[in-house]
Amino acid sequence: MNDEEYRDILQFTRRALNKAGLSAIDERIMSDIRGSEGAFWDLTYYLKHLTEEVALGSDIHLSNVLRRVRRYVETDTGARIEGVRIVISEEDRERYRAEHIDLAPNPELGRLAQELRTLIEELYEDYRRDSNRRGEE
Amino acid sequence: MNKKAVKARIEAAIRRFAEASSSNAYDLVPQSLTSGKLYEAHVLSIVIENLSTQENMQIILVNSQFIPLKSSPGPINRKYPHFELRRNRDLVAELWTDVEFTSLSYNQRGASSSVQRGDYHELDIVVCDSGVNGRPFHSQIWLGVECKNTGYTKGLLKEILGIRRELSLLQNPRPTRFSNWPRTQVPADPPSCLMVFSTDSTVTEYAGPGSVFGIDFNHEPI
Repeated sequence: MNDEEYRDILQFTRRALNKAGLSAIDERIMSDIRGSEGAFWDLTYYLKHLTEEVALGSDIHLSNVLRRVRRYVETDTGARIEGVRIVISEEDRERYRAEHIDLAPNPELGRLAQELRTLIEELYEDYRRDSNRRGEE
Repeated sequence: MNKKAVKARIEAAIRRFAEASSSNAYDLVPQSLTSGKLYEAHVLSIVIENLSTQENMQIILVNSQFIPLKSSPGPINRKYPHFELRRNRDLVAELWTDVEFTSLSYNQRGASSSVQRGDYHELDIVVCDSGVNGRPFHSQIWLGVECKNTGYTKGLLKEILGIRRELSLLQNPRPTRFSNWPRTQVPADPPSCLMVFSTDSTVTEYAGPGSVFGIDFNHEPI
């Protein structure tokens, strides 16, 4: 692929994020970009940040918390610790329409983050191959 | 790979991301609440790890299979989930989250009048005597922890200095209830330990007063 195609993919990705109602994430990623390193690098930088956002949604941090707590804590019933529960105070219950919120890892987002990492790796491989080919010519 | 194939994979990924994000049960809850509580859970897990590995405590979560946190602080309700802390199988203390304690100044006034708003303060994580119901007295606190998933500011320093003031009087160092972690001695009477964890590295710039008053400031990124 050439620079024009990489630029097109980046624009397509940004439009898709906005169309999916995830414009806040697009803004967050774009605000982190400091100048252009070239079309390919801009695209992969953007995709890496997007992957981090997806991984955050998969609650990697939460998984680490659970792993650590499960290692050192037993429950009185012997059952496994399932997640984190935030009990909502009575005055907030109407606003949040819930008595509690359970935070538990979302495995779907974990899988998705891994798929995006694979895509980025394949883009790198293509880019290296194309660069070598251009060098040979 | 060609452009069309890459676009198709990205489009599918974003669609799944949007679907998974919108399926979260806590959509109505501000991100600031969940991220703040997630940080609290992170610090809680570190406290638990240290109580286990350095204090050799056995830790048992009672009344739940979920790590308990609250959206707002309050008194201890014994029906709520909490952690029992045991040494050699003996229950020695309990760990609660988002708890208010009654202040030293309330106690100094005789603790006989009804508790007013200024007579209690919250701590994110508390280790205290076992069996407490309602707000623990300042003298029942073994360890208080504040978690700040935010930029650390002078205002937060003043807040924690106020907490220290309402937990203990400044005294020559005396033994805490712990054998290793977080401290064996603290310049405070009653000898409660007090810790601040913050994601902001500048928190360590505020550690000076803590070295005098017995407050440990920790930079703990998530």
